[in-house]
Amino acid sequence: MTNPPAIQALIADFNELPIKERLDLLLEFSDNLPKLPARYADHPDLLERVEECQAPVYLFVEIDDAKHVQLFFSAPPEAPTTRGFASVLHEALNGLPAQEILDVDANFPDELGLTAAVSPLRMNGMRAMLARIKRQTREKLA
Amino acid sequence: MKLEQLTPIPGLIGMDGPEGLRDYFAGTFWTAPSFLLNVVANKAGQFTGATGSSRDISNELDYQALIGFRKAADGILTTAHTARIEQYRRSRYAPLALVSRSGDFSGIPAVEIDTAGPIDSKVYLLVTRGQLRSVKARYTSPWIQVVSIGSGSTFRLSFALTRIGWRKILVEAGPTFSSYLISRSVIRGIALSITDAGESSPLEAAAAALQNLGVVTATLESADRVEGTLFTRWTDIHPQRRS
Repeated sequence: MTNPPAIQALIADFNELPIKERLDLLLEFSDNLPKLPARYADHPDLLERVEECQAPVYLFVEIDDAKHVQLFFSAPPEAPTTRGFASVLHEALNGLPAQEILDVDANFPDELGLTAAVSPLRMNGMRAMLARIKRQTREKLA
Repeated sequence: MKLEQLTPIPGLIGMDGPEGLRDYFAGTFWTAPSFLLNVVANKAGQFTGATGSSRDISNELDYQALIGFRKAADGILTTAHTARIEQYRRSRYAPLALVSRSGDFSGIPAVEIDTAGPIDSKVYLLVTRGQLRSVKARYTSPWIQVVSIGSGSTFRLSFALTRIGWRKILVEAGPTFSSYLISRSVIRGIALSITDAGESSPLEAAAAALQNLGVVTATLESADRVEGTLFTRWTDIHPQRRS
C-alpha cells in the first residue's frame, strides 16, 4: 500500500529529526490545528467523539461533490499530544479524494517515529481517529 | 502629528514625531507571541502599484509603523522572491529569514552584499531538505545560516523558526505567500495599513484587502488613522477552507 505524497512528506519530516525534536514538531502541529467553522463550533453534537482518546476529541468528515474529503476536528489545547495527532491527520488527509483516504495505510501513525516517545495508548488514539475517518468516509460514499 | 483612534475607544493621541509613531505600533499592535502579517494596501484592496512593488502604494507613515513592528519582532520572515523585488538589506532591528523552494537567493542584497546592512544581523536561508546541501555550499558569508524546513510544510517552517528562538515573527511577504500562510492558519494577526483611506470607513477600506488575502472572517481589534493613512489590526483570522 503506497501512501499519498503528503503523508510520505510528513513521515520524512518527523523521522529526520531526533526523537525529542519529533515531539516538539508534534507540538507545532498541536498549536496549528484549524479552528472549527461556526456550523460545527456552534453544534458540537454533530461531531463524533473518538472514545479511544482519553481527552475529549471529536471529528467529522464531509465529502464534497467532487468526492474530496474535508476533515473537522475538535481537541482541547490541554491535551497537546492528542491535539497534535489530530492536526497531523488534518494535514495529511484533508482535501484528498475519498478513495485515497480509504487506501491510506492504517498503520501510518506508527511510521512517524513517535512510538519511542509517546505511550502506546496515545498512539492507539491516533489510529482510532484514522479508523473513524475511514469509516465515516466509507459510510458517506455509500 | 496626531493619531486618531477610531476603535475600540475613539480618541486623539499626540505623537512625538516618527519615533513616537514607531513606539506606538511596537507596543500596541503585538501583544502575543505569534506570526504577525504586515500588509499595506490601497483602498481598492490592491497590494502593489504600477511597478509591481509594494513601494508604489507605501508611504512614510506605514514605513514608520513597519519599523515599529520590526523593533518588536524576534525576526522577519519573507520569501526570496519578495526580498529580491524589494531589494532587502539586513535590518538593524531584527534578523531576516528568507524562504525559497528553489534555493535561489541570488539578487538579494541582504544575502550577497557585505555592506547591505549590519554584518552581525543574521540572514537565515530556509530551504527544503533536497536543497540543503547545495545552498550551504553556495552561500557561505558569515551572516548567512542555512536551515532545513524539511518538506517545506508550514509546520516545518514554523518549527524551524521556533528552533532559531523566534517567538514574535513579522511576516512581510507579498500577497501570494501571505495568502498561503493564512490558508494554513499560520497567521494569527494582521496589521493592515490603507495608505489612501482618507476619511473612509475602516471596515470598508480594509474588507477588500482581507478578502483578496483569502480571509473569510476576522475580528477588528483596533483602527487608527494618521493623516489619511489607516492602521488596522485583525485577529481571530478565519481563512477560506482549503481543499
